[in-house]
Amino acid sequence: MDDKTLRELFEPLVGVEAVIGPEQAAAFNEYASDYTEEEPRRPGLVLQPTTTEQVQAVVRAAREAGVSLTPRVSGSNVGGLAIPPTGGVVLDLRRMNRIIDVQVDDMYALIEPGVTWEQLKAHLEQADIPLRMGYPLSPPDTSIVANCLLDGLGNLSMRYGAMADWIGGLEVVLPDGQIARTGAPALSDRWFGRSPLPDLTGMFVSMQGRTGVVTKMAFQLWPAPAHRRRTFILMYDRNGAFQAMRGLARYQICDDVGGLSWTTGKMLFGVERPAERDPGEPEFFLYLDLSGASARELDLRLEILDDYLDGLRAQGFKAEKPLDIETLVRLNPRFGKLADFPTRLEFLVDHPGGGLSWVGTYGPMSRFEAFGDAGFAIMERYGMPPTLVSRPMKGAHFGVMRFITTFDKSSAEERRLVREMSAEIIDAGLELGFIPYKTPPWVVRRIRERLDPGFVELMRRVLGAVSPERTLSPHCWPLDD
Amino acid sequence: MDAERALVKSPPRPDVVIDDPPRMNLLGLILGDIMQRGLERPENQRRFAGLVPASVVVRAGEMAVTLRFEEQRLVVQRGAAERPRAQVAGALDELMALSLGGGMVGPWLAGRLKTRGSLLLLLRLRPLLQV
Repeated sequence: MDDKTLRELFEPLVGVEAVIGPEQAAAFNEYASDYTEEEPRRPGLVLQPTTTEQVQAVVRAAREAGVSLTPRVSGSNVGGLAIPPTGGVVLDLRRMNRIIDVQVDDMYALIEPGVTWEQLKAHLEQADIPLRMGYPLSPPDTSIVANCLLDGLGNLSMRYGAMADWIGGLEVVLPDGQIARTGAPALSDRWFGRSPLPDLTGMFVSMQGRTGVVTKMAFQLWPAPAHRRRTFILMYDRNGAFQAMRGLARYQICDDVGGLSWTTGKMLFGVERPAERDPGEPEFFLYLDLSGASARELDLRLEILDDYLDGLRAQGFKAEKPLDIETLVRLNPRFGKLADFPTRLEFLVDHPGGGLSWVGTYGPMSRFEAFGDAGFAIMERYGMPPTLVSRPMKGAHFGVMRFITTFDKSSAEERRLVREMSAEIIDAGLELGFIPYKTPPWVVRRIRERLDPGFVELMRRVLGAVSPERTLSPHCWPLDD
Repeated sequence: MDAERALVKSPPRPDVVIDDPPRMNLLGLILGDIMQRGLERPENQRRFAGLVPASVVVRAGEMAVTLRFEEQRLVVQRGAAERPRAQVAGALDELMALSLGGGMVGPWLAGRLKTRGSLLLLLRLRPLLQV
């Protein structure tokens, strides 16, 4: 369908001010690509609805006209999910950004998909609400709903699991335009959780928009202890860091235990592409969040941490004393980027080359060492700095291993190398039982032969039943093409 | 008039040069940054002039860097140079405490900071290492 016909179809449904077409080149072209090596695809039109009713109307019209719709908010997905098929319509939900309600006693916020991390944080602070949320490492202006629906993670995920676990219920516009509620709000006026009805919320988690457009979501919040401490520990051996992550997760004294490889420290200081590690310098930085309802509780947790580190050193692992983030910031304001979340890490998203790609996986923590070895070896072979972010999830029942690459997007050779390298890391992870999350379409094609055949068949049936016309995000979860 | 006097009395701000940044260790990057900021202060620019020429080795944990004080520039190099005029070594947190205004003598007497070579040079260097 040509641009003019698309505009004639959709403009009356959302209003002229909510349509971005090719004549608004600068704004329009942003929708054609993301940070990654994924090739750009030109959309046909961009719509920015403001109400659920408008979303319904657009979905119905797109279905009747056979036009694809790709939902997105900030477009910061690192896997091409938000890039529409060529000529498709982008459903940009950023203007649906109301914080509808915050239930302090039941600890959730009812929000629209355009609500960002910084927006909800500011709202909680301004209203003096004693609740907190977990933040991903994505920029502050990205969508909470998108991260939950894609089952991302945040700095409370060690304690409370991946972010789809934090959903308290959904309002969804289905591919035929019908509205459905899942989770508690299917029966209750309080959006308290995905339980206890059949968990249809799962039909919209990690489905990448194939099954519906979420227009409201309850986002679970957590108590904010009065006393908090963020501290960093420099470890001279990454396997020691992995052991510490597992051990500290089981001690249950921390809200969060995360790890960053040595390259991130240098990138924070403006070194765009660290070339090699000084054999004498730390290989991994652990960052820990601890909290307590009282100063005494926090002090006790810190004391236990010191005991744990002494034990680790007794096993031969070298670890520096914990360094408080406040100390680090006084020493160098650059560390302020890690002091308060959400944060924008310019060295990842605003560097001159502009490219950012990753292999993000969830998998067994018992195999962190093996995957770390394999991933680092592959990245070094490709001449890329071995940047890794890892964290225990849900009390260390599993963990995240995320290999990150920054690169020069203008170089076709670099884009090719990044894709080739990522494929190798994914294969290495699959061999060890690690599963890619926010799975990009090219990765789905790579893993589909390995998937359980029954799972694939069930996915086909679900997608076929809910969205037989494949109107929504048809490029995602390509199980058959 | 005051501005003119300041121009006469303060030597130009020395450059801080990180030698081979992609291979520099974290200690060198931290120290380079601290000294860059420290050298924005006129009194430290005068102190710097008094240190030239010299090389000082700083060790923290298992990292080492050499600070070379040259005419109008400070070069930060990875590793320990042979025969520096002075050396200081300690745990990273001890060196950080020093940078945050902590005393040098107490940790030195307690053996937490170790020095070699010209103690006078290290004492003159200390203000440049402080944030």
